[in-house]
Amino acid sequence: MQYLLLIYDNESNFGDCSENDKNQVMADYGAFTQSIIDSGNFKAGEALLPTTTATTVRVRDGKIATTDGPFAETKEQLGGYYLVDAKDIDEATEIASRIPTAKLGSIEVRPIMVFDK
Amino acid sequence: LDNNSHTIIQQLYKDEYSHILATLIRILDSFDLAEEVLQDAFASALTQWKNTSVPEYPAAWIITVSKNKAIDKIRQFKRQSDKQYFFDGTSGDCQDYDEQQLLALDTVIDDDQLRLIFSCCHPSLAVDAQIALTLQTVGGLTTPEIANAFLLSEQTIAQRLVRVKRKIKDAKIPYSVPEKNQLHQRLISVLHVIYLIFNEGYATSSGDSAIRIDLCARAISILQILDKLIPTEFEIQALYA
Repeated sequence: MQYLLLIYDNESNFGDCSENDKNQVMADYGAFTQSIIDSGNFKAGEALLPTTTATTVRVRDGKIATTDGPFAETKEQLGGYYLVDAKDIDEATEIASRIPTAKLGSIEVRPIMVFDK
Repeated sequence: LDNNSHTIIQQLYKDEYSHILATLIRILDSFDLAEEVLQDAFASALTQWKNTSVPEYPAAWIITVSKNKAIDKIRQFKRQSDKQYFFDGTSGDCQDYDEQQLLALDTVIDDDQLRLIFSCCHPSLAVDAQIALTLQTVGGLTTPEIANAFLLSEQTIAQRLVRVKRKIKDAKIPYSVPEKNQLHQRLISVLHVIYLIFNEGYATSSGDSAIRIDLCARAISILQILDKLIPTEFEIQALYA
């Protein structure tokens, strides 16, 4: 079963921290990613640029409307994701708990919908 | 004699429902299907034991009838290739597996009840939902009884139960006793649910007092199950006190 692990954090945190801290975070993420690749859980994963770069698209009455910014302003923003294969929610949450940002922000674990063939 | 069989069935329901349900859920991989066949089996008992005598081992009779009903259902699904009842709804293999496991079923396993409790009180589920589900499956209360106890409408409780069972299936909440390193933490959340059930029964003065007392009794009996199955955890005894 696949789960999407959505990484939420206050994105200004990262901007405010020192070069050293940033390197540490990158190293932690590198080690975490390698660990789930090795264990076979890793399917995909990316980091996102800050929400200042986001564009929201809506189609209303056949017209495309694009606006600046994320869907909703929140205290914590989606900063990246992992797609993992896990045997159940317990394994997925265990993996989520090892994502470095879990210590500062939060991780939302969402099961991937399976469509019947 | 008629009355007699009725009393026996009521007692059996009280004593064995959750026990048998727990094992059926494990084998069938579905709360809904397990509840359905077990209810059917009790309904059959009501009509059949009226005419014949009550079997020597009534619990075993219920298990056998549930088993046969489950096998019927599974075969029916196979024919219709309707897979909505099953966990992932994708593979045909798991259904064959179900049937083999079912055929071997003749007794219930205590561990299943423990699996059921931990599954109902899984931290991924909302606390309200944990309470309702625990009362229904482990405590053997009906939806109207739960609604009554918490002074909520039947519809609210029914929806809560449907939603929580869907989440168990969709998010794949495991039907297992947690690993040793998780056990303590998970046990705390189980005890929290039991505490809330007890408190609801004990502290509130409103509502039907008989049902309130019943909530306390249910909380204590769930605690007794835990105490019997995980005897080393002192928190259980502490809450019991």
